[in-house]
Amino acid sequence: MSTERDPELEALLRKKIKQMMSENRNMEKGGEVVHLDSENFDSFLREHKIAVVDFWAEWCAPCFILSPVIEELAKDYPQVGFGKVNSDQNPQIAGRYGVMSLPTVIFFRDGEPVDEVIGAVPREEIEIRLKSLLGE
Amino acid sequence: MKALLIGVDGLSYTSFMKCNPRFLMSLFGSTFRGVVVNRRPQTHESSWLSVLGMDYSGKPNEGVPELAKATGATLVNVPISDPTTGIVSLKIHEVRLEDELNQVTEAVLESLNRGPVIAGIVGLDVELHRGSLDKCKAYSMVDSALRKMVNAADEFIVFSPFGEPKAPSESEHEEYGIYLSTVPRPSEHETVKLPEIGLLFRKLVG
Repeated sequence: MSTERDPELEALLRKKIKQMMSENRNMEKGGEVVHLDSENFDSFLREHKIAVVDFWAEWCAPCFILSPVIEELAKDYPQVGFGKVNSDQNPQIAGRYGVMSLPTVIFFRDGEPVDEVIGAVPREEIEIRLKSLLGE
Repeated sequence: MKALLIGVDGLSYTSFMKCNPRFLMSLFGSTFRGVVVNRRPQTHESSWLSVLGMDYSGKPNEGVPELAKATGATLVNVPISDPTTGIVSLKIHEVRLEDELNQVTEAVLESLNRGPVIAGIVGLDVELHRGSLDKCKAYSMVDSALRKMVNAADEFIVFSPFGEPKAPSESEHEEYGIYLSTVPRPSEHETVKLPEIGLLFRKLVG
């Protein structure tokens, strides 16, 4: 077997290791809201059958009103993946799902968006959709 | 015109849903709003000096703040010094929220008849740090006092220079405060910076 370095193979290995580490980090964060970006967004959806993603921005006051609701639900539903995407820093993710106003909460099943809520809504409005997705 | 700039240190949007401060929620739905950003470490003094257009030297503050000179505003309990600066002057670490709100409300209502007013409330932050008061009860007290003061003004800016305490350290808070005002901001899709609040008040007074 050749002992020569193969830069292409090394690059692939590095990418795979990075992906595995990112997935591992996401798995460890059950009950927490994971900050998502283009590096970990797709793997986050792959790892969670049901996921809830909160799209927000720093300047968005209603986003800060909603944020504790999402954190609370993340603690109460550790079997669900909860994430948040800063739309200003990740416009390509927001654009992919047609996020036009903030906050927007998108519900995913098997990586596909199946429902959404717009605005700073009470916990019940999100929880009722979540329960329906979980079949409760 | 009765113009009021009032800052409540430690007030945060993140407790609006839980505590439902009715007056603040109604302002939230009916006025220009924004998110104040102020990175750690945040202290009463350094934050307010930025609002008032002064540099933080770390030394005891002396003299009349630039913004007060420019607007002719009466200062009420402004925490750029300890005790606070103005016609109500309280020792920050000894403040009890209820007493502070009563004194500041009375002074603001009187002073608004004479011209613009710049007022501060530190008791919410102090009591949340102490853990001596139920948060929603404190929000309700602040909400009620703000209702009286804001309703007495023609134009106002209600803000907090930082959010709720994040650690026992007095300089660690949420990095986001509130901004609710009759003054529109030029770029509402940007956060509000502390010096911008002073400039907006100056514009409001004219």
